[in-house]
Amino acid sequence: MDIAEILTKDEPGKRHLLLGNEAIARGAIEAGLELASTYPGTPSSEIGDSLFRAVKQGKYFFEYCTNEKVAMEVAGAAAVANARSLVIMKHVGLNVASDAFMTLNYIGVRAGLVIVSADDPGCWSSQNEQDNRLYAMLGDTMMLEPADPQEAKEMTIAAFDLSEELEQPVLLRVTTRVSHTRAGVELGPIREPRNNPNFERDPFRFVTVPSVARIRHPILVEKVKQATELSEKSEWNRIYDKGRLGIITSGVSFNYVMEALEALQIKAAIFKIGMTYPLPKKKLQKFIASKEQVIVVEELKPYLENHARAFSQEESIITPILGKSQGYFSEIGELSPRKVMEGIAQALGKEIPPDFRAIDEKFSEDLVESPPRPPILCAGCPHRATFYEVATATGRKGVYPTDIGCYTLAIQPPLEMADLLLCMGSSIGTSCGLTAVLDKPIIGAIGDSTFFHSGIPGLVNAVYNQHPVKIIVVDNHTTAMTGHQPHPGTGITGMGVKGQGISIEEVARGVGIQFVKVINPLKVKESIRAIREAVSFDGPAVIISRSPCALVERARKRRENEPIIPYEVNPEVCQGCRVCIDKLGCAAAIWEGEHAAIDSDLCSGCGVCAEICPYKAIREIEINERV
Amino acid sequence: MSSQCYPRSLGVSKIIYDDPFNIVIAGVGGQGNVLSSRLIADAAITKGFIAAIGETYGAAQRGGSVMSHIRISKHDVGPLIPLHSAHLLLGFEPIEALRVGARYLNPSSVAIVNMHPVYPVEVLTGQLKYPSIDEVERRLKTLCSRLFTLDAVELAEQAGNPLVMNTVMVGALAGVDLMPIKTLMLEKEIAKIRRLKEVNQKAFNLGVNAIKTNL
Repeated sequence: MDIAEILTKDEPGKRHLLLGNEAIARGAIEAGLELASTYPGTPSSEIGDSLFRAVKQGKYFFEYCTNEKVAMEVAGAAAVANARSLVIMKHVGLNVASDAFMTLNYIGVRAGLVIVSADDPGCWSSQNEQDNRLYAMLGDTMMLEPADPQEAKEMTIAAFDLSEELEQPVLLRVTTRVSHTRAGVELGPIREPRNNPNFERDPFRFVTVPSVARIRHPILVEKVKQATELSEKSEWNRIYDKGRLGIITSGVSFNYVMEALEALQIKAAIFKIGMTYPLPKKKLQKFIASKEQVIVVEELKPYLENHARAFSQEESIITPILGKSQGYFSEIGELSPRKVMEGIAQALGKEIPPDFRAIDEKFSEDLVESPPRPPILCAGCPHRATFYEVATATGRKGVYPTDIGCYTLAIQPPLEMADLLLCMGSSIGTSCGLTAVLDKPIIGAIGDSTFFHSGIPGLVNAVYNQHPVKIIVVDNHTTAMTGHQPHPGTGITGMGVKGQGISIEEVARGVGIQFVKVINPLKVKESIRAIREAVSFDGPAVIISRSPCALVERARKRRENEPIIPYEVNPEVCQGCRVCIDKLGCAAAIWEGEHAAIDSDLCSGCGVCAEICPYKAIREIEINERV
Repeated sequence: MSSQCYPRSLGVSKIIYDDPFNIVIAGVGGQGNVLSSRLIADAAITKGFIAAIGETYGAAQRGGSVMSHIRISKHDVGPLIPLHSAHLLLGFEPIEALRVGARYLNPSSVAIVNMHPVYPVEVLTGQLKYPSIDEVERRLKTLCSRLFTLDAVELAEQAGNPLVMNTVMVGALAGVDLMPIKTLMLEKEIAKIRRLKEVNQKAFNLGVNAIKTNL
């Protein structure tokens, strides 16, 4: 069954195998969703993507925004205007949106507003593993935290209701292991959207000049008190089983705890916290006081642990609280059944039944001979050509700040064209900083979607402060890394409407860049010439390296029955110089001991290797040899 | 974690499966790993089980190592299989099977491995060597109670398209008949695939037979 159908059909009681993220999308629709906004980012992307797929059948408005801050403003305003709204982002997206987030709580909302933050313990696909539970605390914003896809759906609905009850936004925090777990999810009834948008003026609430902010802050503090009362009674904060040992946990860790207790044959009462902000203080105090000892099992920061200690101190409860502070668990990386088993066993001074050390030894032994398989740029990826050209044009004598997208994979050999990376859009700002202090070419790379996300202010800064940065916009006409979402340059909206795309070159010229050139990276010599020109240009320069994503292009050709003509190496002509392998390193290039070869199944037919081959040994496969 | 990780025969007709029953799939991005795990879990859910799949992706489209954990249970279970606790390993690629097998197999588990290699970049470029297939097989054997090997790519080609290798492997999984879900359930799921419908059905049967003739 099609995901659009699963999300929008009103079939309560029906069970489907859903990704945690799809379950959240369904939950929002069941709650009568009216507007959703997002900027894609793993592990959150499939929430927006499934809402995008179902937008024709659905009764809501959906948009991919330029960045998370805009998405927060879009959804926040809609909720102020009485429309149930959802805004979705990955954990670091909330950093981008934090300016809006930190004041949205002061004004509150009229209809429900749910903010999804998908955290990534273990950095599966992120530049850091920050713990966004602290954002709930920082922003005095209620937070729910599901442990599995079913709960993710139910909590999304609950979050909307909670948000409306207190007229405050609610954070729904998920982690990779919830977002990307697929499990059977039982559907519930779909509520009809209210469809009663209405902007009721109330400037002394909604216009946060200092005098209003000062009035709103105590109101916010009062709301947190009310939310604490709700948390005390919340069915999401539940105690399972009995025992003199207490375990406090939340999210996916709950599953690991249950499994560990069974394996270790330990009886314990488990306090599963589903509402992680504000915490049910009294209930926690009562729980801790009634136990001989308490173990706290949570990923990343000792958030629950520190609160448990502070709450206990207030009531002079002396129950030992064991967790990260004694080193039983680490605040680095995600938890696993093994880590939880080991931590609990250690805290209780028990033996662990499985011999993990023996497994480790075996594992390392078997790994020695298994070559690694890191993710790489696809065969025929235009980014590879661009970075080859930048490296050749500048003789690798520059510094090469990079940005967030597939092209970050140019960090790997043989390209090794990534020197500095902070966050989305950072390559232009970091390029400015480097040009200010270094006397060498600074060539920053940024993707098309990232350029719109947060690259433009950096570019304005370069012009304004006269930094002679050289910015290569690697434009593959999609947000490839997160699953090929559209962006402002493509003109396709979240409602599936094709509008006019925004031209990167016009933006660059518009902000005052004097040198703007569009290249086709698959034409190597011309591109190298253009990059050299840009580097020797006196002032900031922008090169737009434009060629569609190889995956999208391959799919298009297949769809339109356009042939893909792969290349081949003529072994008689090949001198074995390995330029195609050691300088370009296309995923389709193979070394056969004496000469190079090309995997014709993988080859996209881009022809870049043929152009750089010093012996002209690479050519298109002859028609009669084509399969 | 139960010490016995393999379905225990109780008498002649009744088999009790461990709960949760853990299957791990190891492969390379683009091999259809995610699709196969969904198919197996779908069959389990249709049968009335609760199933959870834990996936590592992100690297999926870019040729990196990909692993899926499938857990079939009567209760709610977490998405990750504890180390050493897979009942079955479905290996789509030899060294990926070895990599994952070393962490998740145990002396009572069973592995089904496609021995058709996909060479990592550094092997293709001549910087590293791919271990000999015999060596991989020897090591895999030491990690489990029984190893079934097949060339699923060749069988997929026989079925009509090398891309349906994953369906051959699901067929092989049905062929060993060690799961709480039976061949028919998986066959029904395969029948739901719209793209390359007949090729997939043929591939599934080739997978089943490849194992049955091996048993």
